[in-house]
Amino acid sequence: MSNIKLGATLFCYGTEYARGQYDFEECVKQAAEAGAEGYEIVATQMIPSYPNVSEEFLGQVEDLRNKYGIGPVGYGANNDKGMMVDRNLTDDEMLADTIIDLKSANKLGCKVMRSQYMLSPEAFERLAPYAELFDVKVGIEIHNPETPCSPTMRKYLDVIKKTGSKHLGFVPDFGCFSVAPNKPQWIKALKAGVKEEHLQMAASMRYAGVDIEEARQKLMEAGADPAINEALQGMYGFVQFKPKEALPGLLEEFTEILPYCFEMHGKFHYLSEDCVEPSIPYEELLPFIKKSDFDGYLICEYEDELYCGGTEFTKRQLQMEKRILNS
Amino acid sequence: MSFAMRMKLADEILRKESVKDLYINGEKNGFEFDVQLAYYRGHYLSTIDEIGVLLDGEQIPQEAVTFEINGKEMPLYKLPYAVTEFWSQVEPAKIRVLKKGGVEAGDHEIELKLMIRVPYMEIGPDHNFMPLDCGDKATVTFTE
Repeated sequence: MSNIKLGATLFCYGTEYARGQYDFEECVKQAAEAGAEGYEIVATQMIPSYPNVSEEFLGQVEDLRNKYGIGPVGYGANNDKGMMVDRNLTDDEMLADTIIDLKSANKLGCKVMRSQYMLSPEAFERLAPYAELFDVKVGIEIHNPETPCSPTMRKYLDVIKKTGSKHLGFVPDFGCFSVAPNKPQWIKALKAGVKEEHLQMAASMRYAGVDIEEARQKLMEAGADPAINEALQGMYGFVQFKPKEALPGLLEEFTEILPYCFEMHGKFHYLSEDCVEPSIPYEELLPFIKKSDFDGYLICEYEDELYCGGTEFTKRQLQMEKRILNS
Repeated sequence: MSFAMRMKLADEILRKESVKDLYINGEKNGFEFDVQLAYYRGHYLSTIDEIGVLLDGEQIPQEAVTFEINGKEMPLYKLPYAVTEFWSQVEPAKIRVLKKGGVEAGDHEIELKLMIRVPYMEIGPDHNFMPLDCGDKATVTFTE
């Protein structure tokens, strides 16, 4: 029996925040009004005294909890392997930085921390006793183009099984289940003068597994506007998609890692007024999770590629999730 | 540099309103301005790969430029070593430029060159990370 709580990452309001239209309080308020029961904070984005949590900020977080009824439930960590000028951080250093993140997550009262695969499987393994000490569960984010059981993620799965630690796991980002082209990239390409027929041609080739260079060449031969290149890059990169027929296989992979998931990222790129995400199969994903034993937050995460702000889309995303989960 | 990411969330990176003459001993001898980090999150200063200021296309000597965040004004050469100095994306940095006699009245173009390594986006072996172009330029009017 699942126990799904709905949350939002304040990253959804990243554009409004960067423009000074929203301060931290307004982000929390908007998340509460959209229907989130808790929020994720991306530490490098919104913690003023990063990487530490000051008493002043903690006080503000508590004030806002009293005012709007929600507080931080997830801590989004970055693993800045390339932060030194002349070399990559070693595993020892990555581990030490991640422990600072654990400290901050714990101080904020977050029970879950999302990490990224820049933290090596070896360092992740060594993190287990510290995660237990702070009682913060650390999940490696599974982000498109990775899939739940892609070779890189398998290495983390092995570590999770080997340690047997309940404090190590995964945070799947639903972008990895994309089965249709990304809408904002499509919109941007059309605006840049690319013809719809050429975008459709690109998508068909992607579905068919045509190599990117071959696809590029065929598009150019067909007279496509060179501006299509950005969309094409996306189709083979961070917003790539598979044919719908691949979904059962992806859900099988998902089943294998589900026992180790304590938070999920409900990624969305665009929702029209009918509250449908065109690229991610929520109608299949949410009933699948509902039937599982998942216990934790489904954190919705808007990726603002259109730079239009996330306020309205986040409301729609939470409405959509509620509708599907309650049906 | 072949490809660099840009993420200009705010309309202004180099804030025109913040441009001011800089006075030394009561005389105009330079200028200063605020700059916001053009990304969705903050970064350690050690991720800055390149920084410099040009006035009307002319490079200002590096030693005449300083960068201030968190109440610390630093010469540019120190930035790559500032591994604990975190630049929040909503706290603009103050750039100060020493220039004898200041800037003549009239329109001038100020350009900030600023390249950052996105330290969690590894794009290849040997310390190779996604380059982010956070530079900006603005034409501003200086008065007498």
